[in-house]
Amino acid sequence: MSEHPERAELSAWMDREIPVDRARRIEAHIGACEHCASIVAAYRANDRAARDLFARLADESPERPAERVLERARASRVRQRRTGAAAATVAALALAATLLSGLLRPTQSPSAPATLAHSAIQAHALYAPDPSRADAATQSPGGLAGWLSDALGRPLGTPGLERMGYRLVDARRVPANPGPAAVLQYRGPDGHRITCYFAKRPGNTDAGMRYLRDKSVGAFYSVDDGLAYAVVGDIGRAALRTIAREAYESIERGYAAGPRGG
Amino acid sequence: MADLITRIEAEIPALRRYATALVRDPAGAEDLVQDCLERALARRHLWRRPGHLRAWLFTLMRRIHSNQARALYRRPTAVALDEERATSVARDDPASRAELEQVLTAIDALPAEQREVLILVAVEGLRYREAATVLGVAAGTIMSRLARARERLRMLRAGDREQRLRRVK
Repeated sequence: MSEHPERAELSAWMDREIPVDRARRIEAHIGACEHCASIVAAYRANDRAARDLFARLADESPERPAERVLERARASRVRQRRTGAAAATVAALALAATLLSGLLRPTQSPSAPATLAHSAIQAHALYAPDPSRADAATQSPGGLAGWLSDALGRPLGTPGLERMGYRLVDARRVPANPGPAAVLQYRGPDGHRITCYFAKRPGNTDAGMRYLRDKSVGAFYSVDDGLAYAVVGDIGRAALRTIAREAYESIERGYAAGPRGG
Repeated sequence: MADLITRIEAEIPALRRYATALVRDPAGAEDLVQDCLERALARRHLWRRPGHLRAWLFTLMRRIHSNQARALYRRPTAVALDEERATSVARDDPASRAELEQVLTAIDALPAEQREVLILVAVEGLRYREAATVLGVAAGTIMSRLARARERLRMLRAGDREQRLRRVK
Protein backbone atom coordinates (compact mmCIF):
# COMPACT_ATOMS: atom_id res chain seq x y z
CA MET A 1 0.00 0.00 0.00
CA SER A 2 1.77 3.12 -1.18
CA GLU A 3 -1.02 5.63 -0.51
CA HIS A 4 -1.49 6.87 3.01
CA PRO A 5 -4.65 5.53 4.68
CA GLU A 6 -7.23 8.16 5.59
CA ARG A 7 -7.14 9.53 9.11
CA ALA A 8 -10.51 7.92 9.86
CA GLU A 9 -9.03 4.55 8.93
CA LEU A 10 -5.98 5.04 11.12
CA SER A 11 -8.27 5.98 13.98
CA ALA A 12 -10.62 3.01 13.42
CA TRP A 13 -7.62 0.70 13.04
CA MET A 14 -6.48 1.69 16.55
CA ASP A 15 -9.88 0.67 17.87
CA ARG A 16 -9.92 -2.64 15.92
CA GLU A 17 -13.04 -1.44 14.14
CA ILE A 18 -12.16 -2.24 10.51
CA PRO A 19 -12.19 -5.50 8.53
CA VAL A 20 -9.24 -7.81 9.19
CA ASP A 21 -7.72 -7.77 5.68
CA ARG A 22 -7.85 -3.97 5.54
CA ALA A 23 -6.40 -3.80 9.06
CA ARG A 24 -3.45 -5.95 7.95
CA ARG A 25 -2.68 -3.63 5.06
CA ILE A 26 -2.88 -0.56 7.26
CA GLU A 27 -0.64 -2.23 9.80
CA ALA A 28 1.92 -2.98 7.08
CA HIS A 29 1.75 0.62 5.89
CA ILE A 30 2.26 2.02 9.37
CA GLY A 31 5.24 -0.25 9.82
CA ALA A 32 6.85 1.30 6.77
CA CYS A 33 5.59 4.87 6.94
CA GLU A 34 7.09 7.10 9.58
CA HIS A 35 4.53 9.82 8.92
CA CYS A 36 1.48 7.63 9.61
CA ALA A 37 3.24 5.93 12.54
CA SER A 38 3.79 9.32 14.18
CA ILE A 39 0.13 10.24 13.70
CA VAL A 40 -1.03 7.01 15.35
CA ALA A 41 1.47 7.54 18.16
CA ALA A 42 0.08 11.04 18.76
CA TYR A 43 -3.52 9.73 18.74
CA ARG A 44 -2.54 7.07 21.27
CA ALA A 45 -0.73 9.52 23.52
CA ASN A 46 -3.74 11.84 23.50
CA ASP A 47 -6.15 8.97 24.23
CA ARG A 48 -3.98 8.01 27.18
CA ALA A 49 -3.86 11.59 28.44
CA ALA A 50 -7.67 11.85 28.12
CA ARG A 51 -8.15 8.67 30.17
CA ASP A 52 -5.79 9.98 32.82
CA LEU A 53 -7.48 13.37 32.84
CA PHE A 54 -11.02 12.07 33.19
CA ALA A 55 -10.04 9.59 35.87
CA ARG A 56 -8.72 12.52 37.90
CA LEU A 57 -11.50 14.97 37.15
CA ALA A 58 -14.25 12.57 38.08
CA ASP A 59 -12.48 11.20 41.11
CA GLU A 60 -13.86 11.49 44.59
CA SER A 61 -12.59 14.76 46.04
CA PRO A 62 -12.89 16.43 49.47
CA GLU A 63 -15.27 19.00 47.98
CA ARG A 64 -17.77 16.23 47.26
CA PRO A 65 -18.14 14.28 50.49
CA ALA A 66 -20.35 11.22 50.66
CA GLU A 67 -22.76 13.02 52.98
CA ARG A 68 -23.98 15.08 50.07
CA VAL A 69 -25.04 11.98 48.22
CA LEU A 70 -27.12 10.90 51.19
CA GLU A 71 -28.59 14.38 51.46
CA ARG A 72 -29.61 14.24 47.82
CA ALA A 73 -31.12 10.81 48.22
CA ARG A 74 -33.24 12.16 51.09
CA ALA A 75 -34.35 15.09 49.01
CA SER A 76 -35.31 12.79 46.17
CA ARG A 77 -37.22 10.65 48.66
CA VAL A 78 -39.40 13.64 49.54
CA ARG A 79 -39.88 14.43 45.87
CA GLN A 80 -40.91 10.91 45.06
CA ARG A 81 -43.26 10.62 48.00
CA ARG A 82 -45.11 13.59 46.67
CA THR A 83 -45.67 11.75 43.43
CA GLY A 84 -46.61 8.62 45.33
CA ALA A 85 -43.88 6.44 43.91
CA ALA A 86 -43.30 4.44 47.07
CA ALA A 87 -41.57 1.54 45.39
CA ALA A 88 -39.10 3.84 43.71
CA THR A 89 -38.38 5.43 47.09
CA VAL A 90 -37.42 2.12 48.62
CA ALA A 91 -35.21 1.42 45.63
CA ALA A 92 -33.59 4.86 45.82
CA LEU A 93 -32.84 4.36 49.50
CA ALA A 94 -31.36 0.94 48.86
CA LEU A 95 -29.10 2.47 46.25
CA ALA A 96 -28.20 5.39 48.52
CA ALA A 97 -27.00 2.88 51.11
CA THR A 98 -25.03 0.96 48.49
CA LEU A 99 -23.67 4.18 47.12
CA LEU A 100 -22.64 5.43 50.49
CA SER A 101 -20.76 2.28 51.37
CA GLY A 102 -19.07 2.41 47.99
CA LEU A 103 -18.14 6.05 48.35
CA LEU A 104 -16.83 5.81 51.88
CA ARG A 105 -14.26 3.20 51.07
CA PRO A 106 -12.13 5.23 48.68
CA THR A 107 -12.74 8.47 50.58
CA GLN A 108 -11.27 7.15 53.80
CA SER A 109 -8.01 6.13 52.20
CA PRO A 110 -7.71 6.79 48.48
CA SER A 111 -4.54 4.79 47.89
CA ALA A 112 -5.31 1.89 50.22
CA PRO A 113 -4.43 -1.43 48.58
CA ALA A 114 -7.95 -2.71 49.30
CA THR A 115 -9.25 -0.08 46.86
CA LEU A 116 -7.02 -1.67 44.28
CA ALA A 117 -8.59 -5.06 44.97
CA HIS A 118 -12.05 -3.54 44.53
CA SER A 119 -11.06 -1.91 41.25
CA ALA A 120 -9.70 -5.26 40.08
CA ILE A 121 -12.88 -7.11 41.08
CA GLN A 122 -14.96 -4.48 39.27
CA ALA A 123 -12.80 -4.84 36.17
CA HIS A 124 -13.28 -8.62 36.34
CA ALA A 125 -17.06 -8.17 36.45
CA LEU A 126 -17.17 -5.40 33.88
CA TYR A 127 -14.99 -6.26 30.92
CA ALA A 128 -16.17 -8.99 28.59
CA PRO A 129 -13.16 -10.68 26.97
CA ASP A 130 -12.40 -9.32 23.51
CA PRO A 131 -9.75 -11.58 21.92
CA SER A 132 -8.96 -8.96 19.25
CA ARG A 133 -7.58 -6.76 22.02
CA ALA A 134 -5.44 -9.65 23.26
CA ASP A 135 -4.10 -10.15 19.72
CA ALA A 136 -3.35 -6.46 19.35
CA ALA A 137 -1.35 -6.48 22.57
CA THR A 138 0.65 -9.62 21.85
CA GLN A 139 1.40 -8.47 18.31
CA SER A 140 2.55 -5.01 19.35
CA PRO A 141 6.29 -4.27 19.30
CA GLY A 142 7.95 -6.06 22.20
CA GLY A 143 5.01 -8.45 22.53
CA LEU A 144 2.79 -8.52 25.60
CA ALA A 145 5.67 -7.49 27.89
CA GLY A 146 6.27 -4.44 25.68
CA TRP A 147 2.58 -3.56 25.66
CA LEU A 148 2.32 -3.86 29.45
CA SER A 149 5.53 -1.90 30.02
CA ASP A 150 4.23 0.81 27.73
CA ALA A 151 0.83 0.88 29.45
CA LEU A 152 2.34 1.24 32.92
CA GLY A 153 5.31 3.34 31.89
CA ARG A 154 7.94 1.01 33.38
CA PRO A 155 9.63 -2.23 32.32
CA LEU A 156 7.58 -5.28 33.25
CA GLY A 157 7.39 -8.96 32.43
CA THR A 158 4.18 -10.81 31.63
CA PRO A 159 2.14 -12.85 34.11
CA GLY A 160 3.31 -15.95 32.19
CA LEU A 161 0.13 -17.90 32.92
CA GLU A 162 0.48 -19.71 29.58
CA ARG A 163 2.81 -22.11 31.39
CA MET A 164 -0.20 -23.19 33.46
CA GLY A 165 -2.40 -23.74 30.42
CA TYR A 166 -4.04 -20.31 30.37
CA ARG A 167 -4.76 -18.35 27.23
CA LEU A 168 -4.78 -14.55 27.01
CA VAL A 169 -8.29 -13.42 25.95
CA ASP A 170 -8.23 -9.66 26.58
CA ALA A 171 -5.76 -6.85 27.21
CA ARG A 172 -6.81 -3.25 27.79
CA ARG A 173 -5.74 0.00 29.37
CA VAL A 174 -8.29 1.37 31.76
CA PRO A 175 -8.82 4.71 33.46
CA ALA A 176 -7.65 4.77 37.07
CA ASN A 177 -6.54 7.21 39.69
CA PRO A 178 -3.71 7.42 40.24
CA GLY A 179 -3.29 6.13 36.71
CA PRO A 180 -2.42 4.42 34.55
CA ALA A 181 -3.80 0.89 34.87
CA ALA A 182 -4.00 -2.17 32.64
CA VAL A 183 -6.16 -5.29 32.71
CA LEU A 184 -5.27 -8.68 31.27
CA GLN A 185 -7.75 -11.51 31.14
CA TYR A 186 -6.95 -15.20 30.79
CA ARG A 187 -9.12 -18.22 30.16
CA GLY A 188 -8.15 -21.45 31.90
CA PRO A 189 -8.21 -24.99 30.45
CA ASP A 190 -11.56 -25.64 32.17
CA GLY A 191 -13.06 -22.36 30.92
CA HIS A 192 -12.86 -20.15 33.99
CA ARG A 193 -11.58 -16.62 33.69
CA ILE A 194 -8.70 -14.94 35.54
CA THR A 195 -8.23 -11.16 35.55
CA CYS A 196 -4.84 -9.57 36.25
CA TYR A 197 -5.00 -5.90 37.17
CA PHE A 198 -1.96 -3.62 37.25
CA ALA A 199 -1.75 -0.04 38.39
CA LYS A 200 0.95 2.42 39.25
CA ARG A 201 1.05 3.48 42.91
CA PRO A 202 4.01 5.85 43.09
CA GLY A 203 5.94 5.69 46.34
CA ASN A 204 3.75 2.95 47.71
CA THR A 205 5.28 -0.22 49.08
CA ASP A 206 3.38 -2.91 50.85
CA ALA A 207 5.00 -6.14 49.86
CA GLY A 208 2.66 -8.63 51.54
CA MET A 209 0.17 -10.54 49.41
CA ARG A 210 -3.37 -10.19 50.73
CA TYR A 211 -6.70 -11.78 49.98
CA LEU A 212 -10.15 -10.30 49.59
CA ARG A 213 -13.37 -12.05 48.74
CA ASP A 214 -16.53 -10.54 47.28
CA LYS A 215 -19.23 -13.19 46.98
CA SER A 216 -17.81 -15.95 44.79
CA VAL A 217 -14.98 -13.84 43.39
CA GLY A 218 -11.62 -13.74 45.15
CA ALA A 219 -8.64 -11.43 44.71
CA PHE A 220 -5.00 -11.69 45.76
CA TYR A 221 -3.37 -8.30 45.72
CA SER A 222 -0.16 -6.59 46.62
CA VAL A 223 1.65 -3.29 46.20
CA ASP A 224 5.37 -3.48 45.73
CA ASP A 225 7.82 -0.75 44.80
CA GLY A 226 5.16 1.53 43.34
CA LEU A 227 3.42 -1.14 41.32
CA ALA A 228 0.09 -2.61 42.38
CA TYR A 229 -1.10 -5.99 41.16
CA ALA A 230 -4.26 -7.94 41.73
CA VAL A 231 -5.23 -11.36 40.43
CA VAL A 232 -8.98 -12.02 40.42
CA GLY A 233 -10.92 -15.18 39.73
CA ASP A 234 -14.06 -17.10 40.52
CA ILE A 235 -12.12 -20.13 41.76
CA GLY A 236 -11.01 -21.51 45.10
CA ARG A 237 -8.61 -19.56 47.28
CA ALA A 238 -5.78 -22.12 47.10
CA ALA A 239 -5.95 -22.41 43.32
CA LEU A 240 -6.06 -18.64 42.98
CA ARG A 241 -3.05 -18.26 45.28
CA THR A 242 -0.99 -20.61 43.10
CA ILE A 243 -1.90 -18.56 40.01
CA ALA A 244 -1.27 -15.23 41.75
CA ARG A 245 2.19 -16.38 42.92
CA GLU A 246 3.11 -17.56 39.46
CA ALA A 247 1.94 -14.25 37.97
CA TYR A 248 3.84 -12.11 40.50
CA GLU A 249 7.07 -14.03 40.10
CA SER A 250 6.86 -13.96 36.34
CA ILE A 251 6.22 -10.20 36.25
CA GLU A 252 9.03 -9.56 38.69
CA ARG A 253 11.45 -11.58 36.57
CA GLY A 254 10.62 -9.38 33.60
CA TYR A 255 10.82 -6.30 35.77
CA ALA A 256 14.23 -7.29 37.15
CA ALA A 257 15.51 -7.87 33.60
CA GLY A 258 14.41 -4.38 32.53
CA PRO A 259 16.79 -1.43 32.17
CA ARG A 260 15.51 0.28 35.32
CA GLY A 261 15.03 -2.93 37.26
CA GLY A 262 18.33 -3.08 39.15
CA MET B 1 -31.57 -7.96 41.24
CA ALA B 2 -29.13 -7.26 44.08
CA ASP B 3 -26.45 -8.36 41.69
CA LEU B 4 -27.50 -5.75 39.14
CA ILE B 5 -27.34 -3.05 41.80
CA THR B 6 -23.77 -4.10 42.60
CA ARG B 7 -22.93 -3.88 38.92
CA ILE B 8 -24.55 -0.46 38.64
CA GLU B 9 -22.54 0.65 41.65
CA ALA B 10 -19.38 -0.49 39.91
CA GLU B 11 -20.25 1.84 37.04
CA ILE B 12 -20.38 4.97 39.20
CA PRO B 13 -16.81 6.08 38.38
CA ALA B 14 -17.58 5.72 34.66
CA LEU B 15 -20.84 7.64 35.10
CA ARG B 16 -18.93 10.41 36.86
CA ARG B 17 -16.46 10.64 34.00
CA TYR B 18 -19.16 10.79 31.37
CA ALA B 19 -21.16 13.30 33.40
CA THR B 20 -18.05 15.45 33.73
CA ALA B 21 -17.70 15.38 29.96
CA LEU B 22 -21.35 16.29 29.44
CA VAL B 23 -21.83 18.93 32.10
CA ARG B 24 -18.32 20.17 32.89
CA ASP B 25 -19.32 21.59 36.23
CA PRO B 26 -18.57 19.30 39.21
CA ALA B 27 -21.79 19.95 41.15
CA GLY B 28 -23.94 19.63 38.03
CA ALA B 29 -22.13 16.43 37.08
CA GLU B 30 -22.81 14.96 40.50
CA ASP B 31 -26.52 15.82 40.14
CA LEU B 32 -26.59 14.16 36.77
CA VAL B 33 -25.00 10.99 38.18
CA GLN B 34 -27.56 10.94 40.95
CA ASP B 35 -30.51 11.38 38.58
CA CYS B 36 -29.14 8.73 36.28
CA LEU B 37 -28.78 6.25 39.16
CA GLU B 38 -32.33 6.90 40.30
CA ARG B 39 -33.69 6.39 36.82
CA ALA B 40 -31.57 3.27 36.30
CA LEU B 41 -33.02 1.79 39.48
CA ALA B 42 -36.57 2.65 38.56
CA ARG B 43 -36.13 1.05 35.15
CA ARG B 44 -33.81 -1.78 36.00
CA HIS B 45 -36.44 -4.31 34.95
CA LEU B 46 -35.95 -2.98 31.41
CA TRP B 47 -32.33 -4.02 31.36
CA ARG B 48 -32.45 -7.73 30.68
CA ARG B 49 -30.82 -8.21 27.32
CA PRO B 50 -27.22 -9.43 27.42
CA GLY B 51 -26.05 -5.90 26.67
CA HIS B 52 -23.31 -3.66 27.89
CA LEU B 53 -24.53 -2.20 31.18
CA ARG B 54 -22.26 0.81 30.82
CA ALA B 55 -23.69 1.64 27.40
CA TRP B 56 -27.24 1.36 28.76
CA LEU B 57 -26.47 3.67 31.69
CA PHE B 58 -24.80 6.16 29.37
CA THR B 59 -27.88 6.13 27.17
CA LEU B 60 -30.06 6.95 30.18
CA MET B 61 -27.69 9.66 31.32
CA ARG B 62 -27.52 11.26 27.93
CA ARG B 63 -31.30 11.30 27.64
CA ILE B 64 -31.69 12.91 31.06
CA HIS B 65 -29.04 15.42 30.17
CA SER B 66 -30.61 16.47 26.87
CA ASN B 67 -34.10 16.64 28.42
CA GLN B 68 -33.04 18.77 31.35
CA ALA B 69 -29.96 20.50 30.05
CA ARG B 70 -31.44 23.95 29.87
CA ALA B 71 -33.44 23.85 33.09
CA LEU B 72 -31.28 22.03 35.59
CA TYR B 73 -27.69 21.74 34.56
CA ARG B 74 -26.78 25.25 33.65
CA ARG B 75 -23.34 25.58 32.23
CA PRO B 76 -21.19 27.90 34.29
CA THR B 77 -19.17 30.61 32.62
CA ALA B 78 -15.93 29.54 31.02
CA VAL B 79 -13.86 31.34 33.67
CA ALA B 80 -15.52 29.65 36.61
CA LEU B 81 -15.20 26.32 34.87
CA ASP B 82 -11.50 26.67 34.26
CA GLU B 83 -10.75 27.79 37.79
CA GLU B 84 -12.62 24.95 39.34
CA ARG B 85 -11.04 22.34 37.16
CA ALA B 86 -7.57 23.83 37.44
CA THR B 87 -7.84 23.36 41.22
CA SER B 88 -8.68 19.72 40.87
CA VAL B 89 -5.78 19.14 38.51
CA ALA B 90 -3.43 21.23 40.65
CA ARG B 91 -3.41 18.63 43.42
CA ASP B 92 -1.28 16.40 41.21
CA ASP B 93 2.43 16.57 40.83
CA PRO B 94 3.61 19.61 38.82
CA ALA B 95 5.25 17.61 36.01
CA SER B 96 2.04 15.98 34.82
CA ARG B 97 -0.06 18.99 35.77
CA ALA B 98 1.08 21.19 32.90
CA GLU B 99 0.42 18.42 30.41
CA LEU B 100 -3.00 17.61 31.84
CA GLU B 101 -4.01 21.25 31.73
CA GLN B 102 -3.09 21.36 28.07
CA VAL B 103 -5.06 18.23 27.35
CA LEU B 104 -8.01 19.65 29.26
CA THR B 105 -7.90 22.89 27.28
CA ALA B 106 -7.62 20.98 24.02
CA ILE B 107 -10.53 18.64 24.85
CA ASP B 108 -12.63 21.61 25.95
CA ALA B 109 -11.93 23.22 22.59
CA LEU B 110 -13.48 20.25 20.73
CA PRO B 111 -17.07 20.54 19.48
CA ALA B 112 -19.39 18.81 21.98
CA GLU B 113 -20.34 15.98 19.60
CA GLN B 114 -16.67 15.12 19.01
CA ARG B 115 -15.76 15.34 22.67
CA GLU B 116 -18.56 12.98 23.57
CA VAL B 117 -17.45 10.29 21.11
CA LEU B 118 -13.87 10.61 22.32
CA ILE B 119 -15.00 10.01 25.90
CA LEU B 120 -17.22 7.06 25.02
CA VAL B 121 -14.68 5.21 22.90
CA ALA B 122 -11.17 6.34 23.87
CA VAL B 123 -11.79 6.82 27.60
CA GLU B 124 -14.62 4.39 28.39
CA GLY B 125 -13.74 1.67 25.89
CA LEU B 126 -17.13 1.29 24.20
CA ARG B 127 -17.24 -0.39 20.79
CA TYR B 128 -18.40 1.82 17.91
CA ARG B 129 -21.76 0.04 17.82
CA GLU B 130 -22.31 0.63 21.53
CA ALA B 131 -21.36 4.30 21.29
CA ALA B 132 -23.71 4.61 18.31
CA THR B 133 -26.57 3.26 20.45
CA VAL B 134 -25.81 5.72 23.24
CA LEU B 135 -25.76 8.69 20.87
CA GLY B 136 -28.52 7.46 18.56
CA VAL B 137 -26.41 7.73 15.41
CA ALA B 138 -24.94 5.28 12.86
CA ALA B 139 -21.68 3.45 13.63
CA GLY B 140 -20.12 5.18 10.62
CA THR B 141 -20.84 8.53 12.26
CA ILE B 142 -18.94 7.38 15.34
CA MET B 143 -15.96 6.49 13.17
CA SER B 144 -15.85 9.87 11.41
CA ARG B 145 -16.54 11.95 14.52
CA LEU B 146 -13.87 10.14 16.48
CA ALA B 147 -11.36 10.56 13.67
CA ARG B 148 -12.10 14.29 13.55
CA ALA B 149 -11.78 14.54 17.33
CA ARG B 150 -8.43 12.76 17.38
CA GLU B 151 -7.08 14.76 14.48
CA ARG B 152 -8.19 18.04 15.98
CA LEU B 153 -6.70 17.14 19.35
CA ARG B 154 -3.44 16.24 17.63
CA MET B 155 -3.31 19.58 15.81
CA LEU B 156 -4.19 21.54 18.95
CA ARG B 157 -1.51 19.83 20.95
CA ALA B 158 1.07 20.14 18.21
CA GLY B 159 0.29 23.88 18.26
CA ASP B 160 0.89 23.91 22.02
CA ARG B 161 4.27 22.32 21.59
CA GLU B 162 5.28 24.78 18.91
CA GLN B 163 4.36 27.69 21.15
CA ARG B 164 6.40 26.26 23.99
CA LEU B 165 9.43 25.88 21.77
CA ARG B 166 9.10 29.44 20.58
CA ARG B 167 8.96 30.65 24.16
CA VAL B 168 12.14 28.74 25.00
CA LYS B 169 13.93 30.44 22.09
